[in-house]
Amino acid sequence: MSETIEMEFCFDAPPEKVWRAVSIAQYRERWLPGADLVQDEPVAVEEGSAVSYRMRDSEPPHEESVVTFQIAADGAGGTRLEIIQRIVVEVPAAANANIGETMMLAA
Amino acid sequence: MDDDSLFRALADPTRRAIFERLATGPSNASGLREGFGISQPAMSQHLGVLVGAGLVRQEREGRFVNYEVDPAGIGRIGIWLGRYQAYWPSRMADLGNVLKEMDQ
Repeated sequence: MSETIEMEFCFDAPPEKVWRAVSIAQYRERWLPGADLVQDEPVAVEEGSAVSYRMRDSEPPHEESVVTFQIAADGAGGTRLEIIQRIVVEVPAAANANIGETMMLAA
Repeated sequence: MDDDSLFRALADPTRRAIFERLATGPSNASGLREGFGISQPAMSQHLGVLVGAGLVRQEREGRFVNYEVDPAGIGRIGIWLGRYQAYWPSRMADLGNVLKEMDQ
């Protein structure tokens, strides 16, 4: 059992272009609406290769997750885009020693 | 049933291991303690969290309480996974269109 989603998609466009489409808010908004995100700004950026956003499920109980888009050249001029999405859990202080810490479930 | 606690319940490695043990078959608390090396109160607390999260259900049998995986809890994880597994392909189709428009 796993609470992680991993998917891979291929695009004919070069990595530099896909990078702009996933990292620049003006483009990102057109395929990944801000309404599905906790905030418009990425929570992590590795310039040119990976960008992460915090998401909030529109359906109750509105689980929050972090999605990372990893970009790599496919060797034929196109782009391989990997989606990795993990649930974010706020660890309750009563049940764990690491009080108030936010952690992600491993795969 | 507290939906919010489902993923939190599984974030703790010990609780996750207890849950995975129960996934192999029902057990009572003392049977579960074998191999975990944790105190009876600690095991009770972990089981309480799993029950509270709707992942495990308990059934009294004479002097013992049996614990087993609650299929409904697994179903909620499946619902989350299923929702996003359907979500991303359509987002990727939109991304493909955005990439085409960026050419112009």
